[in-house]
Amino acid sequence: MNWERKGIRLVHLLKHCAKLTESGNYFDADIALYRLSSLASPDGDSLQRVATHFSEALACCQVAKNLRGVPKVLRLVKTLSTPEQQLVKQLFFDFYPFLNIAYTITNRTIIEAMEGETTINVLDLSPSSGAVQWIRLMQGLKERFPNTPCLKITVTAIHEKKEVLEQMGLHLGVEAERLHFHFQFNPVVSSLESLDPETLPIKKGEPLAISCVLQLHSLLATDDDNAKQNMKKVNPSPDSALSPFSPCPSRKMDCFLYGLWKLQPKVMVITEQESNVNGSSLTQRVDRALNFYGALFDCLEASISRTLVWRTLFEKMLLGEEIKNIVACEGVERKERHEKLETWIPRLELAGFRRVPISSNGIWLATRMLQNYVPGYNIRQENKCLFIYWKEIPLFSVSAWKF
Amino acid sequence: MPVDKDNVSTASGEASVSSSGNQTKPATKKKRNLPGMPDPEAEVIALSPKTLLATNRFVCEICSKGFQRDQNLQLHRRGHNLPWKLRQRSSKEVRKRVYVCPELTCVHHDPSRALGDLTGIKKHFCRKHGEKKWKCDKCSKKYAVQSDWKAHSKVCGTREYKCDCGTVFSRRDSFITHRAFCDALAEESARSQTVVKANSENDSKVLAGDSPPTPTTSVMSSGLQTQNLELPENNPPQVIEEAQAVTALSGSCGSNSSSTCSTSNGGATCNSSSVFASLFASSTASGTLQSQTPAFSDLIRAMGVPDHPADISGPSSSEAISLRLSTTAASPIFATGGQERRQYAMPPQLQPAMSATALLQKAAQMGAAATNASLLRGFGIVSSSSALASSGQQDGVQWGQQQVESESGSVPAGLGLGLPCDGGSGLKELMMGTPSMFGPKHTTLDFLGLGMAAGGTAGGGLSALITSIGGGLDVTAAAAAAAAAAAFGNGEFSGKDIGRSS
Repeated sequence: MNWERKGIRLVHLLKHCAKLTESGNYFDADIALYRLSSLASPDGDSLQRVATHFSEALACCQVAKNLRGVPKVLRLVKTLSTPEQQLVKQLFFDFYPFLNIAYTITNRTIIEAMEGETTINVLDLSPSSGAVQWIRLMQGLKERFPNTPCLKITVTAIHEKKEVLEQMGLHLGVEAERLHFHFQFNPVVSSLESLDPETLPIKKGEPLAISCVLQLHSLLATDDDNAKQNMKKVNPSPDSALSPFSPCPSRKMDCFLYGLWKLQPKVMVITEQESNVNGSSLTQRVDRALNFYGALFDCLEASISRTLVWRTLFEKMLLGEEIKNIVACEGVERKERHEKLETWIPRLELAGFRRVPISSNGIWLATRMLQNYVPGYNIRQENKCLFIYWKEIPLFSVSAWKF
Repeated sequence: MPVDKDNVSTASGEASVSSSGNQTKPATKKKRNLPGMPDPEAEVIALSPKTLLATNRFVCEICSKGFQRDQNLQLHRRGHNLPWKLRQRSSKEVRKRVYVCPELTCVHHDPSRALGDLTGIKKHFCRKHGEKKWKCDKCSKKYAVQSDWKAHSKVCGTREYKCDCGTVFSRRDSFITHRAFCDALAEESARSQTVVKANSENDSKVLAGDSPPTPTTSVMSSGLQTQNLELPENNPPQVIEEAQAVTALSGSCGSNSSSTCSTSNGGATCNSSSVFASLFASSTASGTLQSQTPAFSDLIRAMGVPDHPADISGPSSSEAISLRLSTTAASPIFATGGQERRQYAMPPQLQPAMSATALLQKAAQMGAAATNASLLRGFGIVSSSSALASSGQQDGVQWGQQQVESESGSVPAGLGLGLPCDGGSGLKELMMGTPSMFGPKHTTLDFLGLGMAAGGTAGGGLSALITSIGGGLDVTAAAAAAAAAAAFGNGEFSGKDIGRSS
């Protein structure tokens, strides 16, 4: 029983520390952190691990509230190099089924939407896992339309780092040649925030598919203070950027989505985290993020040995960094602004998109795929969208849209 | 208290009558100076250690009998039937006498810090600079002054605070600190929860074969039979909750067997899965089965606190650990296919760790409200400022080492103004010297009483530092925090009595 008590104590202490930090009670928060440091452990069970990273995040939050230089330097130290980023993204792909399922469903939906087309344009807004997704798409296309001569595929990928795009182009080119496709690769070196969809090298009139996996929420990052001031004038809502009725929930996002809509995509598939950590209240964010990342850590605990060094590395470099971003960063720096699908839907509809059903073939394939993983994962279709669950906790959502 | 005329540096046996025994209390109460700050007009007496510790300083001139007290000597002299002339003592006006400690290093060696009472200085000398010869037999605590020892042994064992977990404390502060973090609180509420849950668990059979009588082997065998990864294509498997539970056990072996059979993974044979299965079968405790299933099919409500916690322990887990395939050790991870993924598929930890999700939900159910106060209670932290006043007063005794006694009253007030007025040097050091505010190690350690040099001022200094930087920091909060910090420091180590005998 001891570990259970300890675990509950740990959770309460974390939430209490968040409350203290939010209210500015730094001494008490410091004491709580001191106590947390003995209860949490990066090598322990999943709760201890997730608590370690949350404690670190709360500590960073506390520092960030009072000092300027220290948090910047700390973040500098923790910045991942490009190969490291690629590594952890690869680990994310390996450890969890989420990306696999997302890609499968996206690809299937695209394939079905592109039935009968001879030219296919793909816009990839989140090419972090390398070329895997599009290789599979090409293979799927070949399988599905074996008789279509000279299928032309153009892939436009947006990423901040040139070398990532180069590698991707390389792999895709090789595969396309193997499958005898006409292939063109358009790398665009840019961040999503500074991207203007109109400037993309996409030919109007040709069928376009857009895919964005776990990346769209970064556009919600705004200077919160200004947004709050604007919102107070109209509607004092407790949660920022959530009510679609407020006049400027996220200008950046709306402009971007509208820009995408103007490209007239035949299909757009969005995969996002199903959790709402975009609030302004720290305690709320910690609370919800705890549930979300607790589940993610549980998945790891259930499937991967505790001693595997990649697991700890992954927890530290990806999950820990996301947690830190959610908890300790504010304003434009806070990129991990996950929101639930129920708030994405009005946003996308506002931009003009209409929902289309997910490929049932894709769902079936994904369900089969899950058998290769530790039991506990579920897929459910609700409201024409797909949700990926871990033990009754919805973690990711996949939705398909069209122009 | 009557002045002892005899205790001038030469221990003369002058028997002066001070009529102490018959003296009634003067009409006006004797003025008492603050300890350590003597009357500037007083006569300072410096005694040697020998004289100080000498017993029987009062000697009868008639029979040379020695007495510890002047009163006793006078009483004794009455028995000698002295003629009236010699009976009276010279009643000259006596000046107030103060005494300095003979120990050079002591702060009371300085005449300006002399103590006004002879008995007091004797006790001080023994306590601080003497050896502890008296030991309490109940608790082995040592004392240098016999009266201290006597006083303690009267109290020892009489007043006790007992925590729910069974630990006993004689001091209130250490009791409170312990109780704040005691797991007994959580256990009790957990117990009440499991009483409810146990009922619901029996009702809602989440698993097929949940009931204890189900032999482990039968579940295993059925599980192994049902595990069949090559599912027919026209039968897309629906994700079934119950089957999932059964596959929970078999799935682990299933995935193991599939991984070992299908991947050419250097020698890991299919035998391992059967060994694994047989291990499961042979593990006697059905509790193992039960303990594992909660970890797997642990849905939101069915909080399976295992019925046989004793069974979840070393033997089964160590077997599983030894069986753990070494595939995970150095497996390459870069792969585009799904093969390497299976290398990670691990037999689940057979330790009874509850998932983070389950603990989070349980903690949410238990509600933070009840435990919020207790989480940091031992530190005297209550957010309201009125509680600050009470805790500040209450902790005043524990706060001070003896040298801070005089300041204990003033520090909270000083903090209330935003800066401690006293102990300014310590504060300035902190303001200027410490480069970073959070966790300068020495001050943090001071919080915890590891280096109790300036516990009070360190807390005060740090809070003032934060006040100046942090801007909108509530001063009462800072004061509360500083009080808490010092009390924390004392509370944490009060058992070792650092606060008392520095």
